Amino acid sequence: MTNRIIMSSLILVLNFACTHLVLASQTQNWEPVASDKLIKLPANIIEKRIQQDFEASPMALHIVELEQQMQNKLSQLKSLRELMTDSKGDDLINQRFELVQQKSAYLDLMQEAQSLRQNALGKKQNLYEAILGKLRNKNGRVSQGEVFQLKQKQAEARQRMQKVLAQVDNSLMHTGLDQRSPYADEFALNLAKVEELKNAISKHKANASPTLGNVEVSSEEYVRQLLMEASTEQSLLDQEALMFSYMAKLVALDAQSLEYEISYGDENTALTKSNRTKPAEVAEFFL
Amino acid sequence: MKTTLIFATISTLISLQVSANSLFSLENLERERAALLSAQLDNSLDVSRRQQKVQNIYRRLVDIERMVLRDDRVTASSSQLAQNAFNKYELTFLVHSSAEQSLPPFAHWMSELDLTSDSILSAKTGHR
Repeated sequence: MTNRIIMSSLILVLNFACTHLVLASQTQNWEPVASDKLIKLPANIIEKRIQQDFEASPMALHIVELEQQMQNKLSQLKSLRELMTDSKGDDLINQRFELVQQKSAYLDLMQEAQSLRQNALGKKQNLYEAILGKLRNKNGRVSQGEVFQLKQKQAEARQRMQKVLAQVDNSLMHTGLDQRSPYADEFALNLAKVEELKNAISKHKANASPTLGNVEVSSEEYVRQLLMEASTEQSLLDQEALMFSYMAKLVALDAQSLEYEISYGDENTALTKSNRTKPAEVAEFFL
Repeated sequence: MKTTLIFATISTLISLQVSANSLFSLENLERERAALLSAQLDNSLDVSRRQQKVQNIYRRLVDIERMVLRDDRVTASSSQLAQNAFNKYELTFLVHSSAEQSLPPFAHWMSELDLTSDSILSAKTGHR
């Protein structure tokens, strides 16, 4: 009777855990958006910003909470196992039930955390894809735009002018205009300083390109790398999910075997056959 | 607070740049170039006065052409004026492109428009 109550309570707990899981997944959420503000950040900062945003989300906070609960459950499981080594009879049966119950609860927590991680990773992948799309669009739009082409032409014209600068200055000297104009003087004076400032900008760490293995890469390449890392993580999470399903299967088998054991005894218990009066044994009374 | 102030200052600087006429240097160049061609074609000027006037304009043109080529505001918008200017480098940047050909600016302008002595002498006056 006691065992039946324990079994029923175990099923009830499992059902409750499943309902809780569905409700939790609805409330613990993270909704990242590939905003224009995010795209403007340097690629390596984009990654940090997304991570920061995720860590502050209800979803991440819930994962941390679940991790703590799982740690507590693990210590309960350990102490229960130690207790079982010295127990016998009904106590042992009760503790085995509790162990299955605790394992099941642990797996529920693990499943919830796993599902949240999968969800977060899926969202992160979508976000990286959206960022990559926007970066590509931006580069394509810039390189195809009229303004970009005009700037290219201006740069080409500037290079062309650079080749004849000295020649034009000489021609000014030949025409008797041997004094440089205020613009030319001031420009030459400022040019050196401008170069110094440009160098300082190019060396500034806030202006540094993202690096992968100490090699500078474009933002697009960096985001592609992030997508690849997300795929790797996805693959490992899938493998963990497989492990988790095997663990769940083992708990189910444990529970089943325990149920059989209570109902039919363990495998060493021999079948009790009711005594039957054989005719040969009573035959003498009729002789 | 500090960051907000810095961003506000940067925004003000940018807005000042935007509000200025972005084609100012290019318009100056066009005016000065037109003045050079007018001076060259002005019959009322004698040789020495023309030369003096052309020299002054030439000097200004050297600076203005360099200003336009270095001015990023000119290409900040795809205005028709800027597009035409960069599509016809030889005619827009007359001083520097004539130096490439080792020709005086006016002679270079004439050759770019295919105005040769023969074509001018063979021209007839009449209504279009």
